[in-house]
Amino acid sequence: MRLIIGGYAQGKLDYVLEKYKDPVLIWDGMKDEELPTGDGYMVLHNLHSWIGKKLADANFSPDRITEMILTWTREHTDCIVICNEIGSGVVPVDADERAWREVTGRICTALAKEAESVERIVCGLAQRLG
Amino acid sequence: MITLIIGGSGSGKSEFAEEYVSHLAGNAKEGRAMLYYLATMHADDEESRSRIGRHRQMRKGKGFETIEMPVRIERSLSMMENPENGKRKDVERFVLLECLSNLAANEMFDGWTDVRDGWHDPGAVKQRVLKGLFDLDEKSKHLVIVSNLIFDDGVEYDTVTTEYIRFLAELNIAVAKKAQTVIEVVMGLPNVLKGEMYPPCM
Repeated sequence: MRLIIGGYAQGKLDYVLEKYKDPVLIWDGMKDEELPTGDGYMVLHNLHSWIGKKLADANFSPDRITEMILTWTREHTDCIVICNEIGSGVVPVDADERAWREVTGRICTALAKEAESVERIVCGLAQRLG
Repeated sequence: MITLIIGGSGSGKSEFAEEYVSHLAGNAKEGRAMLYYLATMHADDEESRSRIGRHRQMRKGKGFETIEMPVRIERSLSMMENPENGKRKDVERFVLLECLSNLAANEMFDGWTDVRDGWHDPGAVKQRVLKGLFDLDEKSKHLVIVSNLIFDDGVEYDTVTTEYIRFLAELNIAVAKKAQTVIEVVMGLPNVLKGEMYPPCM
């Protein structure tokens, strides 16, 4: 698994599609509710949006969401996960907004530990962090 | 040749960029270097004036000629080329543009009065802004462009703001692609994202 992080509209997906081979599926956390099934090299785009949607559902605790994504990436070792960096603003007053940033940051940290590479995209340029 | 210098608010990118361009100009042939500072901020309120004052103070004694150009950046070319500014053929221009985020906002909202939908479509403005920048680069020995990083806060803004943020991101990406060097400034320290610091001038 490779992890790609970066701010909003920094060209993360374009970078992935240019650098790595064509995926069998580009899953979009902004639209898709469930993690994809099946095999082959898949790109999970907008993971932060999916995390936000799951958190809004009372059936999913932060631990459960973390477990779901870690289990999935362990079963799909050749995947690429793309997630926005959302934690570099003022800590929001709203508890749900706070939780979303915190949980997204913690999940990325957990993914980074297991990832074969971690790249940060700024202005369309990649920098390898790990 | 373009160097793009990016950073968050208060990261020290302006001061870093000024020293960077001064250093580059220091390598020019004796007496040929001309330093230009292209200021893009509208001086229309107290905060802007105080910020402009702080930046002027910082530039004092560094030999910059300031050109105020909040929109249509390509117009600064004719000002650099007028006889008073020395139309000598051997002049080497070192240009510091501060900053792309202001220029982008000024272009997008130029003449904007209608709150509902009067702003310019970024898609239509983008190519013209890029052409202006790249023309400027062609006539310069080195063009240093300062821009902002405003993409990491996770806030969902209103439509206009979101369009502006995307517009700036696209300009940053296009400039970064063309640039020889891209440097992110963090606490005044350089994090080189592309190329090398102080590339030798051809």
